[in-house]
Amino acid sequence: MSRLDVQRFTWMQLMELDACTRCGECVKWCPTFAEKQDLDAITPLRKIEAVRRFVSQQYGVWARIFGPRPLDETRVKVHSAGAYDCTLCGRCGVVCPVHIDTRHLWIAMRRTLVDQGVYPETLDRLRERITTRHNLSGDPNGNRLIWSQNMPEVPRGVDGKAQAEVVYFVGCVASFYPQSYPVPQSMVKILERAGVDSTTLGGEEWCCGFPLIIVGMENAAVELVRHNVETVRQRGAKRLVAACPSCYHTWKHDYPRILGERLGFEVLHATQVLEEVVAEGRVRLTPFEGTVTYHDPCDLGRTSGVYAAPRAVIRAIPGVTLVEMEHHHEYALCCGGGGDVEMSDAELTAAVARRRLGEAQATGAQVLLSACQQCKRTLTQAARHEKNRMPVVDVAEFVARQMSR
Amino acid sequence: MNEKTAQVVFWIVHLPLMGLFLVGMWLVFTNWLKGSVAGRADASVGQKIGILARIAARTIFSARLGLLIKAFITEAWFNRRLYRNNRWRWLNHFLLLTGFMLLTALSGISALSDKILIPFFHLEYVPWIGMWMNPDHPVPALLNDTGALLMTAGFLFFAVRRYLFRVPQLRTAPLDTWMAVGLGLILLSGWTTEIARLSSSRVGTTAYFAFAGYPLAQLAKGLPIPWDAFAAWMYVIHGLFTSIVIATAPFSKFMHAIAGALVAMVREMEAGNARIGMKEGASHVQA
Repeated sequence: MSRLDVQRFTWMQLMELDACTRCGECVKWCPTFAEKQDLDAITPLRKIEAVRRFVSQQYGVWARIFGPRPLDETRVKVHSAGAYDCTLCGRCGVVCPVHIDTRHLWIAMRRTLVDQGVYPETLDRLRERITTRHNLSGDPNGNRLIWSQNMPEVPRGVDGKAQAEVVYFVGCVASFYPQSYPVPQSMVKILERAGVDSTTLGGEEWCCGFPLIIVGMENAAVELVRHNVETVRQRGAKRLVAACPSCYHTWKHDYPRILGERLGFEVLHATQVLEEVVAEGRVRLTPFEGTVTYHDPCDLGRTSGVYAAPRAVIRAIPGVTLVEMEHHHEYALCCGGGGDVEMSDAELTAAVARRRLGEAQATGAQVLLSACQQCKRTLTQAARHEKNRMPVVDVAEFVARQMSR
Repeated sequence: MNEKTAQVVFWIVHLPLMGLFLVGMWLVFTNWLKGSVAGRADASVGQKIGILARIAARTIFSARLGLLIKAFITEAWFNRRLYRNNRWRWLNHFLLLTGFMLLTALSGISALSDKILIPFFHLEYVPWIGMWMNPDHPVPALLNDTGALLMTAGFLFFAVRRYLFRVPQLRTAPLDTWMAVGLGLILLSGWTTEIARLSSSRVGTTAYFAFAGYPLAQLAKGLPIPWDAFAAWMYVIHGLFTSIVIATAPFSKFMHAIAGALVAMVREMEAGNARIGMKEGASHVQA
């Protein structure tokens, strides 16, 4: 095995390895360990312990005197299994007493595993698919607007305006997975009703790169980043709106870092735009006499800090009662759909989703709302599997349904 | 062994071990600097230190110093996150850390008075400096016993939770056990040293302010032990244990006391800066 490249980590991350006390607070909160207790390597403290050992073997005092010791292949494989069974929900980081930024640390660890060539095989196919087909599903990228084809009336601007104030970045899941079609359909309806000058990038939209960045293959995502930013700039947009929290997070936080420059336009999540148009009265809503609960998507809540906007939108609907689940805001349980775990362990994703669905059901709510296509997909699958009739609806869909005619 | 010899032996042992501690810290710090700093992975160690020094200076000599101090109090010392999530563990940690910080500060202050302020500046007549020369003065006596009691209570919580109840979330490794042994030896030798000193002929008239050590010394006094010599020996032994634990800190779990505090402060400051940024610039209210 090649030498561990510690330059994959920041100096703070290397310090974080020494800051971990193995107190185990994170273990209680880890959604994947709760479902897979036979794999101790999943736990945050074991992942840190493993990397600390690797660093010490290759860069510690003895390594400086006697030379680095080779990495133990078995240990690296066990570590890889744990690192790639993590949904990157970041819950461990929220409860860590010393504030270790775990999510970024896990991604850095995955980068070193990619360097070592110890990662799930499916990720090679993922990389190939995204870098050649420019989307997650492997469908022809020209079909990106397939979701709009069964709309009774396709709003103006959906199919490629040359210039627009707002670019709606649809995302791969909403573009190619039929369960999620209602999300972009709802978004474009709302934007049109609110009088927002908007467009999509159609077939020119490429995957945002998130699936590659989080598995440790950021280098493969750079071309996607450059293409997407250039395409949005050509539209002269002042704002980019993403309904997918992962796309939103990537655009807002990873793109400027990767490019080393400001994007030149504002990046918003769909719920932030909905909050604005609802508050300004540009969209009027009819009453919904019922109880709903809201699932915080990890990449929108914990990772991006957006908790208030979706709740403000839900509360703006007359008659609605919003109840919180046992775990909400920064403590919210993951839906299981993150971290590309589904590609290597679909059963694990399903188990985590079932637990979250159980929490939603315990509230007595009639509808489970979320603001993420991936959460909607995994939670809907869990509901179907459990023969649970609770509908899982995106906030945008919910608003579109309640819009007055 | 008399008191003077004990002092000489202590410094002969203590100084090289502190040198070892500094070498260890340098090795750990240069290992951290193998990572990227401000996005620069291939910069030299000197350049990285320069970048970090500039960031530190910009923080210390600005209004953000307040944020830094607040972050130290709320996150590194009080540990709000632990308080919210696990009250028992928080109590254990808070007692141990507060006791440790108090005793370390007292040792530092008395060493400063004893070795610098009084011999070089002749400030023994300033009451707030001179009092640190006398361990039986009410203020040091009271503070020393308070610190020792806090630390002992925290240590007992720690040991019971980890070794007796074996809380399932904990994963005990040899480094954890070394920490327990190290702390246990420091505490045990510390209490013995205090009792021996308070039982010796060197005890002052206000020694009863050591509200825990003094009553214990009264109980032990009747034992047939040459207290003066024993106190001198214990002073050396306690100093040796403490110095060994400090010297091994960069390579043991004790490192978390430094690295953990730094990480918690930096991350809390980043979060604070982000919150300020949101209030000023963003049109969207975020919880």
